[in-house]
Amino acid sequence: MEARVKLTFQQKTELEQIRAIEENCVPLASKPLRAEHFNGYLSARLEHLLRDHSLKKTLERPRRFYRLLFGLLLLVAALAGTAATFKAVAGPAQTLNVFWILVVLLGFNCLSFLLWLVLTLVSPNKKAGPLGNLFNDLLRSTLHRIHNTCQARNADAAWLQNTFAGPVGRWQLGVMTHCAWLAYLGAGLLALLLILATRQYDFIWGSTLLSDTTYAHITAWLAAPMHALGWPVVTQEQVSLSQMGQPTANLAGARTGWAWFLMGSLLLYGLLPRLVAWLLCLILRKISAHRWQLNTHLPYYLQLQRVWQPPFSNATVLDADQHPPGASATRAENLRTQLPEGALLIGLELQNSGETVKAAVNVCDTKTADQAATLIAQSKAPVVLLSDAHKVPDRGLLRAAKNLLASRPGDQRWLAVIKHESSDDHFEQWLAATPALGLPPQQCILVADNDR
Amino acid sequence: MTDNLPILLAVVGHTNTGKTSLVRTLLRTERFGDIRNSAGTTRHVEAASILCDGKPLLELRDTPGLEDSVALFDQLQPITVKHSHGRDALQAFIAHEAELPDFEQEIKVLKQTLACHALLYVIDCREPVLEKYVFELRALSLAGRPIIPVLNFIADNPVHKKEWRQALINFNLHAVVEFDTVAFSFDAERRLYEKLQTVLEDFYTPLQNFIEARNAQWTQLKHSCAETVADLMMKAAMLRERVPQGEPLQAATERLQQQTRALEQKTLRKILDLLQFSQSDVNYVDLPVSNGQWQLDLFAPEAFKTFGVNTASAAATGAAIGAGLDLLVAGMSLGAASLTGAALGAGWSTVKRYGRELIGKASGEQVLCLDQATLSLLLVRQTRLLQALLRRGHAAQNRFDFSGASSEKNELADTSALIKRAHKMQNPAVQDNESFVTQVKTELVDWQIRAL
Repeated sequence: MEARVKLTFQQKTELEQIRAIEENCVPLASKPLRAEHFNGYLSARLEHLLRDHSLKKTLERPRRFYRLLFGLLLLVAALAGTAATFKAVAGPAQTLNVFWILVVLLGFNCLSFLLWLVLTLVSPNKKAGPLGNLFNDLLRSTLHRIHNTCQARNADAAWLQNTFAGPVGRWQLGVMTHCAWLAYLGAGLLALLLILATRQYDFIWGSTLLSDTTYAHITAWLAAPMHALGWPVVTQEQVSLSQMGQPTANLAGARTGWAWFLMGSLLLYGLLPRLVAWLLCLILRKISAHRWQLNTHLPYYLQLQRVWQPPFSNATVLDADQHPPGASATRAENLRTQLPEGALLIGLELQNSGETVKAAVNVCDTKTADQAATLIAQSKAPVVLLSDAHKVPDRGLLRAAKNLLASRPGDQRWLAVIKHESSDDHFEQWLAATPALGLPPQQCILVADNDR
Repeated sequence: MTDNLPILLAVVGHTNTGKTSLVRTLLRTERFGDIRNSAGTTRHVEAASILCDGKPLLELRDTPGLEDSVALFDQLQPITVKHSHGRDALQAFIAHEAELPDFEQEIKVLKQTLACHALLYVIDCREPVLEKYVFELRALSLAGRPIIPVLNFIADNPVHKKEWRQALINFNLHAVVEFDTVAFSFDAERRLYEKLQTVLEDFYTPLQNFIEARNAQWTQLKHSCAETVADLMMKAAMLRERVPQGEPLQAATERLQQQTRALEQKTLRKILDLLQFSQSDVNYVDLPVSNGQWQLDLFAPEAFKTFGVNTASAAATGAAIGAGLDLLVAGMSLGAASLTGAALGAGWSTVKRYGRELIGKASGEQVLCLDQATLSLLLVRQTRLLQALLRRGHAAQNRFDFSGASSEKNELADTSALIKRAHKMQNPAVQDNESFVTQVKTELVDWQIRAL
């Protein structure tokens, strides 16, 4: 037995792309496929459609384009990180303000990180939100400008909807932004390492507004986790000596300490939180993608289920009819509508005519059939068999009628069919059956119920 | 017991009682057998299986109608005296098949009674309990198979239902099912399978699984139908037809009407396809479309919210790009790039969303859309259609008439609040509000499911 097939997020997305194409452009023909489970069928069908209709390129196009854009974004972020570091550090001055560099390299990162954290914690809905929609719109309009066929347009829209909308999109955007910041900070750190490895700077700090001790405390707080991790940091003495206005000669011993402190801060307060957030988004994206299910209630998937497992098999004839009945050609023309005078009226399973038709006896079982036969034998009057038009003239009824009329000569046999309003009419069938009763069609009477 | 699957069911009964109709309705297809209002329409034994998990579970064998049970029993009676078991008597009778050309159809039926696990004896409840039916039951019971009487044609005027029930009790047949093949009820179908469970204990588990699968399919089918109608409502609510200044309003109105009707007819085809009916099952009457005129309203709450969120996010994106530039110059630009980016983003968002509308308004352009009354009528028509088709057997001959489904005759739950919300989607800014659009669609689906 085939194990239950789990569809990957990529497969589910491709299936949605195929759905968009089939619903909005053209249905795609697929060869009959066998699978134990519906997911297995969907997976096999997808594989066949991709191969038989050369759709691989169309479906992959938005993903490739996104990867290209994402690569460009990372490159721009890395360049921005490098440029920002060079701008902040590399210059003619030999002295660097430690906290200014930290603000330049980490300030905007920290603000945006806090903003993301707050929005993630307080945002009640689990969707990508307007930023996802905006990214979605931008990508879609760009993709449409490149290649605008019906298939491509719909495949793109479905891919973007699945990737950037809903719960998956929310974490996907998180992965993207954190990754970009990682590139920015990583490139910045590398640039800083390169600059500090090749040039010598004196690190200073100073403030007009804040007291000297405030900076010393801030440095101590910032350095404490690094120190705990065994990272070399500046000592309190070196911090005091680095204050603006102190003789620069005293800074010589603090240079290495400040350089390590700077790089440690970038790592610990910049790269590390971003890395954790990136990993978290990556995991949550994977979980959301795993949890996300195709809406099999959609008519499209219901139809596919019927193709996969038809609800019933085709009909087969087990015991064929060897003697099909020939077509009867009896025509209803110039029919009588009045019963013959003084006739003996015998009912044939009359149902609704009991009160209006005064049949001598209504034949509906063996006993009444015997009573009718006795009456006919005793009477010399013409015999009229009465039947309701809604009654189907089956073989049993016709046999009973034939038996009743058998003793009468041809001109004394009559069949009257009573037509009721709002009832199914089998008069034509009764008329067609007259030869079997030994009656010429002229001796068939059509009586409207309201006439009597 | 699954080795013995499929369960073979012979559908038997007097001629023209709805045997083929029962098979069609259980298979949910119009592509089985021939249905005519005359005796002896089915003259061969035809079978089709209902599949469960792709495997045949129930094989329904449609048999010719029993037409002359009185004569048949006359022939059978002397044979039954010679055999202690009814099955042996039937086999002995069938062995003389060649000598009994008058009973060709009946013998076909008797063969199936011997071959099948159970018999579904279809009764036309418009007919009284006649002696010939008693003979039919006596002949059929010789096979020694469980008989489940199916009371058909009970929806309109079940005059003889009580009488039939009593007669069946007298015959020791208690597992009776009321199942109208024209006015279908899923509950009746479920009860039929439950009765089968009772009389075919050996097949209890596969039948239980089948009942559950059938239940799930029915729920899914209703959900799919509701999704289809909700989709139509969303598309209709979003329809917009621009009328440039100087163009006659009449032409645009006609275009809007054509689009609406095309949408409704496309939905109709989808629904018929889902429920396995054909165009001949409905009598489509054009939707009376009245159009409303859309006015640009920036301050509609949903539009305002979407506009605000979109503009804010566009501004934020612009600011983020600007901030990148600010970072490149290590903050020396004092955030000017961020500010400019935010302003450009907000401007771009506004122009993108409302530019076309504002230009149109300035040039005297009008925008037509469907009014609430038309949307309401559309919803009522589709709901009525679904209600009718979900209660329609696949043997029904009358057509569903769209002209009968108007909002004046609306007995459905109040739709005004729902329609009012859907109507808001004519505003393109509201269409962008993903959560609002999703919420309205969910409400439409839920409402439909409740109405079904």
